[in-house]
Amino acid sequence: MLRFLLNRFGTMLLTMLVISMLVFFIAEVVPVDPARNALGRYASQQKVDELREEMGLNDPVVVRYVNWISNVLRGDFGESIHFRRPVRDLVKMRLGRSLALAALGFVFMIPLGLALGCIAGITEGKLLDRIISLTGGIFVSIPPFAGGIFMIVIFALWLRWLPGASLPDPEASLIESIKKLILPILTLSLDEIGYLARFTRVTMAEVMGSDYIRTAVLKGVPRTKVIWRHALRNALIAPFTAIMMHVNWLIGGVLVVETLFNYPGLGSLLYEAALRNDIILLEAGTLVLTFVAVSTQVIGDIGVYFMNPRVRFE
Amino acid sequence: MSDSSNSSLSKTPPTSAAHERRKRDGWFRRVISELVRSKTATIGAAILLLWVLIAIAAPIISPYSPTEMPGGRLESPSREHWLGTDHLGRDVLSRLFWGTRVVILLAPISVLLGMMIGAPLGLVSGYVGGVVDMLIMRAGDILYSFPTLLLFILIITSIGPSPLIVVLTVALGNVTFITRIVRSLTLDERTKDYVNAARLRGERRRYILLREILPNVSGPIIADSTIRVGYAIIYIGSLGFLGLGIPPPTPDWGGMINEGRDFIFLMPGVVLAPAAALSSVVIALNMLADGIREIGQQR
Repeated sequence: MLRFLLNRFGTMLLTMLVISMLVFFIAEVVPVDPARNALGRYASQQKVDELREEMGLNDPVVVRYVNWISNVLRGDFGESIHFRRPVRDLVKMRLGRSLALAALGFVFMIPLGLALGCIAGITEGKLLDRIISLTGGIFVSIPPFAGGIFMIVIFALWLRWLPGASLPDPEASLIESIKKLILPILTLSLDEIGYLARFTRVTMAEVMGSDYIRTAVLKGVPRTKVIWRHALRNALIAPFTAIMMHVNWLIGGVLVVETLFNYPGLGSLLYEAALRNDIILLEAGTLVLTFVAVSTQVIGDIGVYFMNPRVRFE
Repeated sequence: MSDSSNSSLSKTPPTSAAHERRKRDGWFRRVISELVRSKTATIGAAILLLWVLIAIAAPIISPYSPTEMPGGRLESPSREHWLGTDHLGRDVLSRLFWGTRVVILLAPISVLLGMMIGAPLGLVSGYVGGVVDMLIMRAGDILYSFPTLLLFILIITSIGPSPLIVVLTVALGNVTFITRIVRSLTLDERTKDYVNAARLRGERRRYILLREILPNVSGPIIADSTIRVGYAIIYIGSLGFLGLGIPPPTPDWGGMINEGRDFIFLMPGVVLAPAAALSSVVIALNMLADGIREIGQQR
C-alpha cells in the first residue's frame, strides 16, 4: 500500500521534472527576444542589452533553467510580457474559473455518459442500443470547436435561447450567469459523453455476458437487482479509469471552448499568450495545466486501487 | 463491386485457379471486397472517397480561386456564391473545396511520420525488453501525460506556424500512441513459433523485426491508424481554429473557422460549412474504423 503510493508519487515527481525541462527548452527556441518584446520596437539596442543582462538572458541555458525552476517552486512564475502583471496572479485567477467550468462539465457529462452507456450495454444489439451507439459515435467524432460552432448557431442564433458568449458580467443576475455557461458546458461534454457512453457500453455488455451474472439470473435474482447490485459495480471501474485517462483530451477541449466562448479561464489566457508570443506566461500556464493533468492521473490510479481489489494483489 | 469469387474463397480451400484470379485482382479489389462486408465501413469509405475526389478536383470544380476576392464582403449565399463570401469577399465554397487538400494531405502524412518513428520504437521495445523497453516506455509515459494540444501550442508558438511544423508536431503527438500499440502487439507475437523458428534459423534481429513480426502486426496497426488520422484532423483543425495552423491565406478549414467566427451571427455559413465538413471527415473515418473492427470480428 505505502509502496504503491510512494511509487506513484515518485513517478509523478519525475514526470513533472522532465516536463518542466521540456517546457523550458521548447520555449527557449522562440525567435522573439523577450527583452525586445518587453521594451517595444523603438527602444535602443543598449536598453535592450541592459534588460537582457538584468533578466539574466545572457546566462547559460542550464543556469537559467535552474533559476527558473527554483523560482517556480517558490511560486514565482515571473511577469507576463503582455499583461505586465505577475504571472502567478493571472494564472491563479484564471485557473479557478477553468476548474469551475470543468467541474460543472463533469457533473453533467459523467452521469449522462455512464447512464447512456449502461442502457446501451444492457440492450446490446437492440434498437435503443443502436441509436445510442450511433449518436455516441457521432458525438466523439465532432471536434470541440466545430461542436461549439453548431451549438452557437443552433441555440444562440436560430433558436435565440442562450447567449453565444460567456464573458462574465458582475452585474448580471444569477440566472443570466448560469445561462452563459450552458453552451460551453454542452460543447465540452458532447464528445466526452460519447466517449464515456461507448466505453461503458462495451464493459457493461461484457459484464452482462459473464458467468457470474448468468449465475445470478439463473438463481432467480430479479433483473433490476442483477443490474444494480452485481453488474454496475464491475462495469463502472473501467469507465472511471477511462475518464481519468481522458483528462489530457479534456484540457484541450477546455482550451478550445474557452477561446470560442470568450470565457476568461486559463485556457483562453494561454490562447492569448500564444497569440502575443508571451512565452513566460505560456510556460507557466502549460506547467500548471500539466500538473493538473498529471495529478489527476495519479488520483485516478489511486482511486482504481481502492475500487478494484484485484489490482491490489497484482 | 461484390466480388463473389473472393467471398467464396474464404469458405472453400483456394484452388490454384482461384488463387491466380485473386492475385490478378490486386490489393485494391481485395480491400473493397472486404470493406463491403460492413455497411458502416462502406458508408465511411464512400464519404471519404467523396472528399478525396473533391480534393483532387478542387481546381476544376471550384468556381473561383480560393484567394481571389470576387464578391462583396460577407454576402449571403447566391447563385454566384453558393455558400456566400467571407469577410474579405472570398468565395466560401471555393475555399472549402481547396481546404480539403490540407486535411486530406497533412493528417495522413503526420500519422505516417508518427508511424515511421513509433513502429520501430514499439517493435524494439516489445522484442528486446529490459532496460531499452523501460526507457522507451518511460519516455512515452512522460510525453503521454503532457496535454496534447498544449504541447502543440507551446511548440508552434516557439517555432512559428508553417505546414511543416504543424505536420511534425502532430506526428510527434502520434508517436507515443503508435509505440504503445506496436509494443503490445509485438509482445504477443514474439513468443510465437514462427519467430522462434526464425531465431533458430539464425536470422538477424533486424530481419526478424522487419520481415517476420512487422507484417504480422501491420493489420491492427493499419486499423488503428484510421482512428489516428481522425485525431490528427481534429488537432490540425484545432490548431487552425486557434490561429496556429497553416498560415493564411492558404484555405484551411480550421483557419476558416478562426477567421469567420467573429462574424458568426452575421454570416453563420462561413463557419458552419468548414465545421460540418471537418466533422463529416472525422465521422467517416471513425465509421471506417468501426467497420474494419466489425469485419475483423466476423472472421
